[in-house]
Amino acid sequence: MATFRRSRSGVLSLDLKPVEADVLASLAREVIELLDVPVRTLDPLAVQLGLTDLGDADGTVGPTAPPDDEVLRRLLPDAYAATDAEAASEFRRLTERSLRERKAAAARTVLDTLAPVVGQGGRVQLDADGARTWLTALNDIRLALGTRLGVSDDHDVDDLAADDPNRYAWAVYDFTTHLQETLVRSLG
Amino acid sequence: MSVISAVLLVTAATLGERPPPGAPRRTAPAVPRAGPRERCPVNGVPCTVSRVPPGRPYTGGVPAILLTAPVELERPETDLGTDLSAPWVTIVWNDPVNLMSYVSYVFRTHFGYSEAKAEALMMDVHSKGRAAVSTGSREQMERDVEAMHEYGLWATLQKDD
Repeated sequence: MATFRRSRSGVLSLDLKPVEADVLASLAREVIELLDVPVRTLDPLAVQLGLTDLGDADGTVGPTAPPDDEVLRRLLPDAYAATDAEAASEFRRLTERSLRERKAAAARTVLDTLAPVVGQGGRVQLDADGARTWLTALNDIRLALGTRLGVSDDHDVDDLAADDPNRYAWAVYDFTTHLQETLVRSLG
Repeated sequence: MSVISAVLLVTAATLGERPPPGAPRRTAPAVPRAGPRERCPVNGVPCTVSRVPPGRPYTGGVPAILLTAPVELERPETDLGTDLSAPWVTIVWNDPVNLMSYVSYVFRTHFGYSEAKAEALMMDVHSKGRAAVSTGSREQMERDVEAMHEYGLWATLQKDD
């Protein structure tokens, strides 16, 4: 299975089979689709003045309610406990949109890194910044997969029935777990 | 039509069927069933999808996994009281997905904690279900929580008890 390795110069490399590259790219694309970041039409003056987080003309910055989709609720959780719903709503209104954008940007970085090897496999290399971005993007992918699969503390893909419809997804989950584990360990 | 709806339709078309709204968890097939001898193209375990017909090279194509099947998400609950004079605290909650090595990495990277402290906090999260990882003003804790969410950790802030 593909494993991150660190060279003496500090560059991290990963040799991917064609199917591994395609699975990773597909997962990154799915995360981007789920995050569904709207295209923002930014006022150039507001950008220059650093006012882009002040919201739209009506004061709306982002949503106040948690997303309906359980994966998005895990990727974009409430910042306050359920006992403080009002604070959670206000915090979400101010921060959710930019958090979505940063997560989508990280997934896009993974897609860009993978672009040369999709469909054919090959080696990808990451510098320190790239490795940090890959680490968070891989984590988002695992959170999404784990939430969809209803992952619990102990799971073993070998325990699944041979005809379990989620067997493929579990195998992919274990693959991404292996990748993230070797990546975080090679960062030291 | 929203992007999500379009993707779901594409996914449903790809998979051949779509779970009805409100379908019970884990009953909707995320991927089509396949014969007993097929192996997962990723790690070789027997699986339900074969994208590689025997004797033919892999030519690309991966089924969508993340866009289907509803599952309930448990929410964090707190029994901590509130004290108007107390500082605020950032709590990181245990979850079954985040790797212990990654959680420890995040504590070292974001908070600048030593390896020993990061490991101890991570073990608290893992074994006790949660750990208070930072203390300070409400604004500082909001920044910490937002950073934890960007890393993918499950965090909330509250008044210290």
